[in-house]
Parts: sequence; structure tokens; C-alpha cells
Amino acid sequence: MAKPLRVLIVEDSEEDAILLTRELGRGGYDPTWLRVDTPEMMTEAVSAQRWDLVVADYTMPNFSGTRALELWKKSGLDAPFIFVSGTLGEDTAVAAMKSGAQDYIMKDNLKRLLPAIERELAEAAERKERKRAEERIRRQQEQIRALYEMNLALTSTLDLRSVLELLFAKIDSVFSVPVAVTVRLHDRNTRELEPVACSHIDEMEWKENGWKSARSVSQLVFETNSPMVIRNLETNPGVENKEFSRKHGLVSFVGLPMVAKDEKLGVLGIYTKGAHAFTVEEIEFLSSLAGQAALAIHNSQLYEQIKKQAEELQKANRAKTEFLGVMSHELRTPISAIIGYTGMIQERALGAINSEQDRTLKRVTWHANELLALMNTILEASRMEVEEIKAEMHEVNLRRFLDELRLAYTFPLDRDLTLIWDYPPVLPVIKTDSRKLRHILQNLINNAIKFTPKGQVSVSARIREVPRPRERGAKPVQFVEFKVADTGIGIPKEALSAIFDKFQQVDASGSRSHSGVGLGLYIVKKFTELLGGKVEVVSQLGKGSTFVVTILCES
Amino acid sequence: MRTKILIVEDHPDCREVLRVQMQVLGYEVVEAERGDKALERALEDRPDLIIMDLALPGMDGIEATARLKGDPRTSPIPVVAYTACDLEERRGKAESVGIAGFLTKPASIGVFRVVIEKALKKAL
Repeated sequence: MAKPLRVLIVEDSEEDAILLTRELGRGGYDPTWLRVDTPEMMTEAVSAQRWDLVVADYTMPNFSGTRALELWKKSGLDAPFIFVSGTLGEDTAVAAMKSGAQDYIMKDNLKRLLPAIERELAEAAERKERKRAEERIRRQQEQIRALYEMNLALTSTLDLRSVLELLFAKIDSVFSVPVAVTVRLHDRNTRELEPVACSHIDEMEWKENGWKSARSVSQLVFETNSPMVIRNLETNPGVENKEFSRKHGLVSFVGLPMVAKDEKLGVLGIYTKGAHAFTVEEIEFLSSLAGQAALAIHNSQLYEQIKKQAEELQKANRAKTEFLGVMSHELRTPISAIIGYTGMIQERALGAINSEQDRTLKRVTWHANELLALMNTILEASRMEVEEIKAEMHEVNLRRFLDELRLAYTFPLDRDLTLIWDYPPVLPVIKTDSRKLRHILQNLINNAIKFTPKGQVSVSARIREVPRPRERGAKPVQFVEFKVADTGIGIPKEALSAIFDKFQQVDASGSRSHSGVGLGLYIVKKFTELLGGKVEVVSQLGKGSTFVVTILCES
Repeated sequence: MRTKILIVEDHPDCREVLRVQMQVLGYEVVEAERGDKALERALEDRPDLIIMDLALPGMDGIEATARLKGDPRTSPIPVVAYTACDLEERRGKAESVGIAGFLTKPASIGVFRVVIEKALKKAL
């Protein structure tokens, strides 16, 4: 069978042209040809259709072979260009070849024409194939880059919108035909595929009505978890709302499942404007891209979920804080009344009382104060659970601070116990949170009193200086050291290490001869750390305990 | 002339205890059980110091203090907050409206004496 060949002949002689085509026919070609012999005709012919071959005479009355070659080169077309001339000398032939002609043939040696054409056509085909291969490699690289960038987005963005926008941009960058992209995600509540976002079509319009156009096929893609192609939306009976695709010139469609970690998330839909046969390569690429995007979407959904949970938790915490506030108020009010009224009688504000009555009232006051201290501890510990406790640093006059703390212990003790206060008359002003510091020391003092049936409890404060290492002449580092020492029952060695833990009580398992819930020292430790200090304990069973709290004078 | 203290407290028992505590300390006492009444008493009775409960029905102690501080006729009177609720947030709010002291219920007579004397000395 004759091979079809589109030949453009640049030749002033019709006869020579016919001769030429006859030669081509002999060589097994079926030439469709056109003869031109002016630059205008040539330009028109070049733009009118594609050519497989150009054969040009070298010298013509109204045109020249070199000019024809120039025009051919300018067109950017890649078919072979061969000179056939009766007058071509060797020099001109060399010049012609140099300027880009593929070959030259003498008219009296036309038998060379056929092998030359064959060779040149083969080379042109090879060039074309190479170009196509290069194009394919370029596209593959583009695809790899798209996947890579999608992968980056996985780790860098948690925002659904940004993920989708990147996905749309990447699909645009690898498709040479114009496309519209849609994303439908499965809604756990409605159990439906909901339209989420699209590119290159009006989102409002698509979400309102247009999404129905590929609804059933998308549903199928989602359920079967495999890609599905519709060559022509117009003729496919499964397509609803054909008006939409018609209006936007959308012809072909491919739907791809979006799956992340075995969870079906939704469907990625690609519409092409104009008919398009999706290649296996394209579908493979789009599937990978859909998978990547699904992972990113999965992450963003998780993130949203966690964010929502965090907000709810915060709300619950807020409610707890409010509850604590109410509790604090409701518990303190009656106990204030008890302590207040008892004090009123003790102060003889209601008249004289005898010593037996006075002793009894002291017991009432003592137990009420115990109860109050316990309540304060529980409230404080609960508050630590609910909110992040922060130190509120301000300048504190240590001397005045200790004077005021001492004032809280003016109530009479119920046993043979001496409380000794020992601190120098002049103390520096330090930067700390006085409320927290007060809480620390009160806890330690109350403990000391509680566990010392007889003897003494001493509270002391001293300034300690440590020279700064490697800094000659610099002022030494100043610490303040508070010490609460008692001559009480002491702490067994094995209990010492856990003494600052929550709900830890030395006596917890035994006879419970001492009240308490095991929160006091836990708070002491937490608060001391908050002030940038440390608390230590030394104790000897039966001899007593000494707690030392050290904090920096400057912060 | 004896030092005059205005007690603002809605709880009758707490008010009674406070009254006796102030009397033991030798102060003259006037009382109000609500924030708006406190403003009236402050203008009429011209107390030397106000002890203010913070959780009051209607106008609470913080708002009452803010109003007292906003009126030049009552702004020099020191206000000591006295509350059963010692949340940090509440305390911060009270400090921002210009209280002279913050006491958590219950406070002993000894504590009252020191805090009141300090606030009065500062106000002079």
C-alpha cells in the first residue's frame, strides 16, 4: 500500500514538479502535493496545513531556494527540507547544507532522491519521538515535583483550605488541557459526599447545583474505591444536570478516591474542557496526588478535631474554676462565722466567761482553724488541677512580710508548744510572689505544729551569699533561706523520698493518728519550684524534722 | 474623735461578727448590706475606712469600690477588701480599682488591727 506523504514543492516548473511526484510514486509514496513559486504562496502554504517534506528548486525567477529555506526555518516546523536543482554547484550545495537544508539532489541524478527522503523522514520521525520522550520526562518530573510538594504540605500545613488550593495548583501545573477540579468529602454526620471545593468553575454555582452533575459516579468511585472515567458527560446516562457541564464546556471526567490510612475521605474529580482521553499514566499520577491530598486532609481534620476538643476542655475548665470560686465562698462563709462568733465570746465582747469555758472555746477555735487550713489546701490543690498557676512577681519587703506572717499565729496553741520566730531586723526587698511564699511557709509551719505534740517549732530566715564563679569582683548571688524546724515525731527514712508527692502521707496506712489529706507538701513543692527555688528536708524519727526553702533574692 | 469604719457585708452573721470585731478594736461602726447603700453611707457618714465584701448582690464590691474611687468626695477613703473567695482573678480586679488591702475570710482581730492601721496611716 502506498504511504501518504504531504509534500510542499517549491518549483517554478510544473513539469519538474510532476516529474518529482512521479518519482515519489515509484518509491511507494502516495503524495499529496502543492507547488509554490513565490514567497507569498510559500508563507500561505506553510500556515495552511502540516507538511511531511519540502522539496525546493535552488534558482527560480520570482523566488530563491535559500529564501524558501529561510521562510521554512522561520515557521519552526520540523519536516525535512531538500534541494533539488539542475544548477547547484558544489560551493552552493555546501552553503545550502550549512544553512540547514537536510540534503541536495541534482535533477539529473533523481534516483538519489528516494533514499534521501526515506532517510530524512526516518530521522525526522526519530527527532519527533525524542522530542515526545523529552516532553514525557519533563511532565514526569513535573508530576514528581507536584507529589513532592504535596508531601511537603502534608507536614507543613494543617489548614484544609491551603491543602486544597495546593492540590488545585498542582493539577493545573501538570495538565496541558484546561481542567476544572472538584473535591467532595464524606461527611460523617450526613453520611453523604458533600461538595467542599472546586477550581476553575464558580464555587457557589457548583455547590448549589453543579455538584450533582457527577454525583452518582462520584458515589460509585467512593464506594468501590477505584477511579472511574466518563468520556462524554453529555452522552453518559449516569450524569445528572447535563446543563451544568454543557454550560461550562466540560466534556470528560475522571473521579479518583481519596483514601488516607484505610479511611475513605472523599472523591477528587477532574473535568476537562473539551474531550480528553485520560491516559493510564495520568490516572496513576492523579491517584497518587489524591492519596497525598487525602493524607493532608486527614491531618487537617484531626487537627480541627483536637482543636475543638481543646476548646471544649477549656470551657469545662472554666466551669470548674467558677465552681471552685463558689465552693471557696460557700465553705469559707460559715467557717468565718464560727471562728468569728467564737472569737467574739473569747474576747469577752459578750461578757465575762470562766476559765473552763475559755478552754472549751479555744478547742473550738483550734479545730475550726484546722478545718479552714484543710479547706484552703484542698481548694488550692484543685485550682492547680484546673488552671496553670503562675507566679506573680513583685517587690516584697521580707521583714514586713515575716511580721505579717507571724501575726497569723497569734492564736493560742492548745498544748505545751513554743513557736519561735527568728529573723534579723534588717532584711532586703526581694522579687517574688508573696502570696505563694506565704502559702509555702504556712503549710510548713502548720505541719510542724501538727506533728509536734510537745516542744518547739522555730521559723527562721537568713540571707546567704554565694560568690559568683569565674567572675572576679562581681556581687555574690544572694539567697534567702527559710527554715521551719520542729522537735516533733519526725519522718521515717523510707518515707522521706515520697513526702512531696500528691496524696502521700506518712501515716496513710496506719492508725491515722494525724489528720490531713496529703496535699500540703505537694503544694509546697509546686509553689517553691514556681518561685524558682527548692525545698529540702532532713528528719530524724522521734527527734523532729527541718524543712529548708531556698529562693533567689533576685529573679 | 473615734475612728469610723463602714462595714459593707450582705451576710448578717458575718456582719455581726465584723461589727463586734471592730468594736473590740475600739472603732465606731456604720453598716451597709449592699453596694449601692454603701455609696450613700460613704457620702453621709464620712467613714475613715471601708471594709468591703466583694460578693454582694446587685452592685458587687468591686464596682462599688470603683465608684467610690471615681467620686472625688469619697475617693480618699481607703477600702479594704474582705472576701471569702480568693481567686487570683478577683484579687487582680480588686487591685485594679484601687483597694488599700485584701483580706481573706476569716481574719482575726489582730490581723484587722494591723491592716486597718496601715491603711489609715497611708491615707493620711
